[in-house]
Amino acid sequence: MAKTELDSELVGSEYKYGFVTDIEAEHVPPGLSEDVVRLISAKKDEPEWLLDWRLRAYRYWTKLEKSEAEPKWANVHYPPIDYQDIIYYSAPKSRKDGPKSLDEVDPELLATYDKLGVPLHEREALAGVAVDSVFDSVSVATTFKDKLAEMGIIFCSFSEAVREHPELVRQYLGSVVPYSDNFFASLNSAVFSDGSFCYVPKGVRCPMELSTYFRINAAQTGQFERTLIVADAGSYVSYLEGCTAPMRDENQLHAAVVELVALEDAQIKYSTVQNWYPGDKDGKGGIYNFVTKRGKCAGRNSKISWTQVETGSAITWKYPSCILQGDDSVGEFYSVAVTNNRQQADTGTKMLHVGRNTRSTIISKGISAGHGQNSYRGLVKVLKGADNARNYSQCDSLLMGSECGAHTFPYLEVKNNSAHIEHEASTSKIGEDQIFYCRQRGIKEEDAVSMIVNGFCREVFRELPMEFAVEAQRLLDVSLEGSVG
Amino acid sequence: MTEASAEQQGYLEDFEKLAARASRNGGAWVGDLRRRAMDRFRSLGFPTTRDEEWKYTSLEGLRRARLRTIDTVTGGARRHDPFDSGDWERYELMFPWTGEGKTGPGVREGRGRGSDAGNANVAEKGSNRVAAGARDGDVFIGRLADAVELRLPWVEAHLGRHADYDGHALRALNTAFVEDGAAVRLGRGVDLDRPVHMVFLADAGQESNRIVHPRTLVVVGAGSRLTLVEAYAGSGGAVGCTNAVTEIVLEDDAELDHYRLVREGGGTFHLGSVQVHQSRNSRYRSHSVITGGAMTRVELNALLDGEGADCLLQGLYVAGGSQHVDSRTAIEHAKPHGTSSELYKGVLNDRARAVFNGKIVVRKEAQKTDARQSNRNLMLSRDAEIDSKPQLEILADDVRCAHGTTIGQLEEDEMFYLRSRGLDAAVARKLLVHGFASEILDGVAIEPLRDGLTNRVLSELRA
Repeated sequence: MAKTELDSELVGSEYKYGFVTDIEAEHVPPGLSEDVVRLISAKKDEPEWLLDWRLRAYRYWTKLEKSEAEPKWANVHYPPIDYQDIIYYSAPKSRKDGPKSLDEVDPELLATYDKLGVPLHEREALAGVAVDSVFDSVSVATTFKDKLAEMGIIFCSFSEAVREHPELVRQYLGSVVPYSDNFFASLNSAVFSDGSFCYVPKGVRCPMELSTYFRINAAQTGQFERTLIVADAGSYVSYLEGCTAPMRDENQLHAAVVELVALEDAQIKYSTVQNWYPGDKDGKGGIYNFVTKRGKCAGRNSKISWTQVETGSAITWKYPSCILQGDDSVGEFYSVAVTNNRQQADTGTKMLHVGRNTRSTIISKGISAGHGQNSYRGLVKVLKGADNARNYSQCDSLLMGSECGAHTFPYLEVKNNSAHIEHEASTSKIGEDQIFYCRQRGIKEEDAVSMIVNGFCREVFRELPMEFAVEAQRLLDVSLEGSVG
Repeated sequence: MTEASAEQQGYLEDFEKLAARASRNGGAWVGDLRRRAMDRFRSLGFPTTRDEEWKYTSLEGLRRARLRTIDTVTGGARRHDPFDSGDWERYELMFPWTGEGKTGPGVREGRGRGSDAGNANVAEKGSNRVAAGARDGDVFIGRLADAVELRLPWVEAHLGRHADYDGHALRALNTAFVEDGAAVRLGRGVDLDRPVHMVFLADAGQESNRIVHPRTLVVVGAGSRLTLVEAYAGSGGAVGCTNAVTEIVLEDDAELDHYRLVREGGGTFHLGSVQVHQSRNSRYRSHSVITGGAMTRVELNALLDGEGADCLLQGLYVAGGSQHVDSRTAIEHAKPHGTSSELYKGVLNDRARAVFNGKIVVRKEAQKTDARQSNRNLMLSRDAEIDSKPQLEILADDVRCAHGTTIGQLEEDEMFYLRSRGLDAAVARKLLVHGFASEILDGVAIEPLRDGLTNRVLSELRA
């Protein structure tokens, strides 16, 4: 459905010289150059320092691309990406182009919403139905925004934040993921289109889950998204990213960057449900989700918790990480990654223990079905000064079918002897005796499998906000449909 | 062919000398094998820390040292057994590599101290040997150079066929210099009456900056049983390197207990690589103990290439000072119903650094595999460092695989318990470390050897 829209946009583009001044253009021609970076910055009316930053990132990326290109260490395989064939900027799509009502939406998509139990008005929003018919969710969003503003919480699009709160953006942008961090982070830093910004002031507990369901700004943030969340001393925020419904998106490469900063006694809880288009049964199409996510527990006693349910994308390459810099800070990572058909996932986390008495927990559940390849890759690093660091990691894999694979690559690097590090991993399949037990009690085989799989993921689901958890369970069933029996 | 780099130049010269000298020995295939391996080494060069396999272990020191190859084994006076491995009946092969350049009589074979039985079973050097109860020609225990020269068919069938050097520069280097080392072969259904004990003694003597490339080939025939003690020791503090490769072939239902002990001298690099090929229902049990040496890296790879093969790997590494110990294991399950179990333990003191990498691969056909792996580390000092990387790659669904790693220090309450009973801190510490290490050492079935190892491990720990 979205394909035809986008195709018509692509066909309409042509290369023009002097486009730098053509601020009215809806999109720039494919390819990446310093001019394109300048153009993106100009279109967004960015201050000089941000353009400089983008350009530094761009130059660094060019150097990387010449020397070693993309990182090759991940356990994923895909044809080479032509970075000159990507459109790096297109203006947010107008709502008018969307379908006028649900009747015009792909019935297959609607059937999936049904299985997931997505509320009606949300279905319209998700399917991109024109704006007036999704009035409900928009007005809800506006109400929320007022309430947040009252408490001093800034929650807006990245572009708006650059305009309205440049001092905050400038202070924290790149402070956790510098532009030189890795190939995809450099690319993102050079060309990021938009994203979300959130600042929670001192001592404020954000009263609601900040969620992309009610995404206030920039519904279509594009493929190079940038999120920055800052929790000031003593504050708390829970942020939900993505949603359980399948998102149809024709951008093959997604290289997002997420930065979290937690100051003294602050807590950030970041939950992700990712269900982008995984490609068809034979692995054709599908999103490459190459994301850099990192949080810094900058202050004493701060806490960052990542929870992710990754069921979509043809290739997932992401490692939400924590830099535990403040003494007594805590990092957590809970993950369920599902690969079915020809999907590949290489995901995990990095826990960098810098401060004293820092603690981290890693719970990773990988489910492979069909021809899916699922890798956990994680690093626990305890630096010399990190006295009494504590880590517990558990990585379990579940294999469904004889064509899939599960891989575990944990790295443990310890430079302090007071550290206490434990890592456990296991691989297994659903036991015949477990199925037999359920069948005996009159439970259908399919339901039994679903029950067992949900039980396998319980430790992670329990970390999700409640509504999300229920949907995540249904999502798991849908994702694994047809891989059982 | 790529241009040889400066650090490869010395190796190339030594290689040409060897090739000219050894061209008449054995079949033409040996020369071909060496040449292919040398070409491979030339194009690979020394690995760097950018190489994932060498991420935590740098060979910069070795590369800079520009070592020259000692290619003669000299015998002569029997040297003392550096392992104090005590009094037990064994077939013994001594390989003292020295830098003096005289070609001596080679291997000294004999029995363990205090034992006089079994001499009749060891025939003249260089011929096939007969163990009690075995048919003539069924048993060979001797020098690899002799086995090559005698053109024994099993040598050509196995040498260089299992220890793949394609992506492995050091194995390629060893293979390029393949000339001498130990060769042991049991035919069908032989239960050797006592262990084979081989000692590789790298003694640079007057000269330093020397490298040796010992090569060992062990073939255990169908249904045969062997206990093998493979020990490496060095004496000097001078920079030197032992670059050893051991190929082990276990035919159907064969059984091998393999003790691999490393205790190199202070300035020495030890780079060891063991490749085991297991056929149907074979059983391999490895016990690896590493102490000493400036830098030690031992790779142990087992390919379970027959149904129902069983593999047990136990390892202990003890390091102090500024030692660097790198243990790598890879167990590849290629056929169904295989089982493997692995436990490696490390004790680190001072500024020592240990690396553990344990990989378990389960191929698609290897259904019903049961694989377990565990790595436990004890850090006794503030400045010690450990990098552990267990790794699972599972491509079959009906399997059970698990691994675990722990890193920690001595438990305070355990220390308190011992102190409260009047033991001083040093003794209490030793006792606890002994307890930690004994899980591995208790697996050593040869009692005098076990006692010797235990004493050595404890003496490594300064009070």
